[in-house]
Amino acid sequence: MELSVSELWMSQPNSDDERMAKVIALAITGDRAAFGEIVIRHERRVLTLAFRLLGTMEDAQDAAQEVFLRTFKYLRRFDSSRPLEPWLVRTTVNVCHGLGRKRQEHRKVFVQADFLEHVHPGGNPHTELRAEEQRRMLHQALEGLGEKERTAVVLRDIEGFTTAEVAEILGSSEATVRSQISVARLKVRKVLERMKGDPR
Amino acid sequence: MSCSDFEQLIALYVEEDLSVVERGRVEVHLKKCSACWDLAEDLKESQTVFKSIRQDIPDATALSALRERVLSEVSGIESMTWFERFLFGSLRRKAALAGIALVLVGSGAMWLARSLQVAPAKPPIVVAVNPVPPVVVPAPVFGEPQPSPAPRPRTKLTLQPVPVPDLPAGERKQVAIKFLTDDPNVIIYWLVDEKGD
Repeated sequence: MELSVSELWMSQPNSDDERMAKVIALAITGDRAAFGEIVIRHERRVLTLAFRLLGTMEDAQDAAQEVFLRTFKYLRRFDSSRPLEPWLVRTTVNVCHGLGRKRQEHRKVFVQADFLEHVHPGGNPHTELRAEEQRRMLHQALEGLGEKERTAVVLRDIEGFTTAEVAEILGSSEATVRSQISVARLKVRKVLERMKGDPR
Repeated sequence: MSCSDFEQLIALYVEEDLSVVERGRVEVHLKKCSACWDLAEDLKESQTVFKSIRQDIPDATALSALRERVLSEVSGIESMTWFERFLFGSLRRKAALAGIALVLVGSGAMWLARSLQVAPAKPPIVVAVNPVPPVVVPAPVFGEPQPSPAPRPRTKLTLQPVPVPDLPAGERKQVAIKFLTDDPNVIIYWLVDEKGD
């Protein structure tokens, strides 16, 4: 059974968490094998989130690398009795914001959705093609959003965090996040409508 | 409320991000407004696409490339200085560190308590100064040419040692030296200690 993001976020420590706490404690002392285990456990989530926030796999890999290097450097500040993932998500968002601002001027082509694999391939080829087209359009629509709106909607609608969790990650109020999400959803819907009318 | 006012609420309604009261107001409006109903349906569709990409994952090549980069970088950097390793290393070290800190704080407190004890007041140094006789300057007389006064003999500086009361042995003694000049308004005092500093 797969836990939802919220369940993971709020979950009480179990035996796996306790084992991870030990791994983190080892990594804090500079144990690189332990740190490697942390990377393997969280690389997928960090890279995916970075890709969704930045739009290119090249930028996402740079951001994810920076996230893990910061983690290695500042892991001792982390309370190892708590789950690491929320901390990594916050770091990823911060790194992506910094990197995104730096590279915004140089970026012309944003969407590279092909770097993500879809977990439910197969089925009707026509349906698959349509779904693929919808994904491409959605990524393009996300590109048209401002940084804060994009981050809020990615965390809420794609990553699956609750509004309260998004507010905590972004250091904003829930009211602000709700407003950002609402505006973002309406903008995305408009872009999708426009694309449906003009498939170029 | 107009339809444009409801738009933002509808965008939140589709994912149940509204309070019960707001949700009720939106549902009442949707029942009587077909345009807003269509908007809600469109938003639900785009939310379905959002949820479909939630399942997407980076390909294995990208993940392994990232892992390789990170572990390669990490192998070249020290996570902590020797002091930080000592500080954050283990519980035993922390306990030892706490003990050292306790001893240091105790020693510091004792030293401070000693230094705050009141020292005996030293007797004030009294310097006796020899009185200087006043010099009377005659008032000038106008009208007749006066012969120019003979130049006064230049007075040499007179060194007058001033007795200083006895001080306990080991304490630095100070001596006040008074210089008398030919100008009664100018007296020079020179305060030196026993060693001539």
